[in-house]
Amino acid sequence: MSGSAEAASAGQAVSGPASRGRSVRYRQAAALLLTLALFGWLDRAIGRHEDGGPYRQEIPRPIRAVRRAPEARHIVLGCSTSKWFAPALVAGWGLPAGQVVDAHMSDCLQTCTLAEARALQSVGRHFETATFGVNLFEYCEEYRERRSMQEVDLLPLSYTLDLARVYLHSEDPLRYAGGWLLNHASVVYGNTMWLQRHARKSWFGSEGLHNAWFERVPPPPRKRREVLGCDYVAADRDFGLAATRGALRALRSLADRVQLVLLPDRDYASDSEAARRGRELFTAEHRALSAQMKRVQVIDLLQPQLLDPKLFRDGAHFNRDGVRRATSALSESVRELPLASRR
Amino acid sequence: MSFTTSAFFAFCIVLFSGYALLRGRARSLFLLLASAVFYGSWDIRFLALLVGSVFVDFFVALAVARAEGARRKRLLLISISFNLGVLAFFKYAGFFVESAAALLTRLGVTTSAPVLEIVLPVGISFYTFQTLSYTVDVYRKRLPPSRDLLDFALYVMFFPQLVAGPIERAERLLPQMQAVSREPWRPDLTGLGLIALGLFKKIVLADGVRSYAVALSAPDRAYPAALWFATYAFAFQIYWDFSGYSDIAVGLARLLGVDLMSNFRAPYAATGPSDFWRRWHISLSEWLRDYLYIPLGGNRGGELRTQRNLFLTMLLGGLWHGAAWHFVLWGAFHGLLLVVARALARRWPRTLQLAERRWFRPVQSLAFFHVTCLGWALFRAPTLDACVQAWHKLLLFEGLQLRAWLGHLATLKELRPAALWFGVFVLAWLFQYLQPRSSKELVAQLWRWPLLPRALAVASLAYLAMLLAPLSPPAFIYFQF
Repeated sequence: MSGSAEAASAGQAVSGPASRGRSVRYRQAAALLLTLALFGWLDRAIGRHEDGGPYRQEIPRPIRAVRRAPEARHIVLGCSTSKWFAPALVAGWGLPAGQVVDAHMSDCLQTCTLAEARALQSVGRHFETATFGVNLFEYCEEYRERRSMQEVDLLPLSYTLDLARVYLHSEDPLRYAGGWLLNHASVVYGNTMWLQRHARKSWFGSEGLHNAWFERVPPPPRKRREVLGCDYVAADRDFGLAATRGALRALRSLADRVQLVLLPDRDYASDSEAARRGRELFTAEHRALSAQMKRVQVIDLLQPQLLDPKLFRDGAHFNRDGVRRATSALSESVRELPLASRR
Repeated sequence: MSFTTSAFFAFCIVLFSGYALLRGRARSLFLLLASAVFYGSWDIRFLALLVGSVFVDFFVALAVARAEGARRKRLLLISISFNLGVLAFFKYAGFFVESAAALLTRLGVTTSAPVLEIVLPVGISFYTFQTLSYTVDVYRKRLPPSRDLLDFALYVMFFPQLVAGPIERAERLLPQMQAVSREPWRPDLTGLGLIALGLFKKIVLADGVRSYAVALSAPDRAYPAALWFATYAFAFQIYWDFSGYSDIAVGLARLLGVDLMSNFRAPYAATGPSDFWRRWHISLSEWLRDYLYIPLGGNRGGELRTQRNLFLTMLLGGLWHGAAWHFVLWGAFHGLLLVVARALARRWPRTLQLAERRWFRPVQSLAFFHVTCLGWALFRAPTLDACVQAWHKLLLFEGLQLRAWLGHLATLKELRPAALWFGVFVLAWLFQYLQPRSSKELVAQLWRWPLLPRALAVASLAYLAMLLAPLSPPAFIYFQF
């Protein structure tokens, strides 16, 4: 009896530090898990907040629109510059409105369209036509690493290589890879525009104080507007074209036919020599791109009646008059195109 | 690829995965390759210069160790000429040509000076000083030369401290680089705390206050009170920016199992110029002491020579920061402070006894902080004219005009953020005064907390930094040097 007690106490003496070590490790693991859970909850709470940023709130909208239109045979994708496409297609083809679903998304550039098309494909949707617009401004977008939030939310993981193939064409692939990883790590990483523009400004002051805060004679107040401009010729077009190519590939899997609509920008709508050169390069490069792909058709809206800077409300979006003219031009262009559903 | 970009985050994932998987020389080679990728991401051409520097100093040091007599000195001169020549060409050529042309024009001589547009390789001032100190130490027989090119290349190119220091000595860092391939990887997790602290300092604090420091670039248009506010803002911006960088560098190194030196120890708690330079950019001030001040004669040769040596050392220290006269002026200002403080201490030694009294320390420290701020105005002002205008207002020749400025801020609805930042400055100074420690010491203290609050503190700092990171993060200030 006493021998076994001694053995037990000797066993305790031997296993004591080891079990204490194990318990410390368990406590450490529990504390880390608790911290991670807390930050995960906080992250999601900020992400779900109604002011949590316009971009995040926008993501589910087009997907819901597609779900609600099971009869739709034609789909419109792209960013806010494509928001008038659906009525134009309905008018051009003379279809009932329910046949065309508007799945454009605010700030959805080419890689986001790639992700959206793959997301819809993975839920088994297929369309007769997919219409997708690009403009020159999208080739100058600087915040793509943050914009990968839409790609992270939408793209099924099995298509990640599609995205990697695009990122490899950028000047700094690591930047995009890092943005993608951080968007996976936190649901608000790509959505901090709100924090930047509102919270940080109200707590710490605006980064764009335009120096008035210290000046005895401040400059006259100016209305600050986002400038949407792009030097297409100097832009990182290799990356932009790779992104468009990736989007077109995904769209070809989603639809029988893909219509690539080339949209003008205000900077390139003038009749200057530089604007003309930029337009020609943009058109030529996109025609060459579509020529390499079957079932992709270019609809060129860089037409004389739309090449007027007065038709734009900012650098990239048409104003009301511009939309009216562009709708008519797109309707005219698609009227010629055959539709299987009409045959 | 700056530490605050998403690209660096992706880089770290690849780096630490590879580092954990590899063993022996493959690990050293991988770390060297990663450092080359990190440095080459700025401009691949600069990498050739860096590699050139590695080769020159490696082989020259070997030759110095073998040589005897006058040949040793000649070999050392090769290294010094190469390193300082590279620095002079890339950093100072344009400055000296322009200054000479301006001087000749003032003297009435018309010249057509060539316009030199030389791109400054990032981190050149840091790594040339580091390699130079190695060769000098070998020459002084303080250090045997490295016989392994890979270890030596890692010593020069170790990416955490390559572009903005700390400027490490070979006797400290070289053995640790040798250990990379010889010993198992033992990451020091306090590095995570340092990285989170550094990111918070840079992204939330330094980048947040940046827009207030701009007043120093146009002092002629500013209210004097606004200029003082801008000077405080810049004093803390440059501290948070540079010490934030150093914290991240030290933290990354610790995760790789390497211990780098502390570069800052609560500099605004300093009570005088000598104390300040023992706390601010410690690796540079120690370098200047050992490789410039002492070779100039140090405190040997009488009081006048000592003061001359102090002044010259600081003057050149100012020029090291950048090829512009306002940096020289900033160096001269600090040189003068050291000379005056030394003279006062000799003339009135009882003043020093007063400084040791407890009640006098905070007064002295706060007063010296304001003196330091006058120096920062010279550092930040873009031209000599702007320096004069800034000092004219900071020394209150036009009064303070506080009420007028506050009224102006209220009209712009900027009073609340300015008040908040002022509160942050006060707290930051108080924190430094009450906790006059380096970040390494602070994080060591944090690591004594229980795990949960410690993990929460580190995660909160990192999370805030991630959320508040600007869309285009500004570069670290010291990258330009």
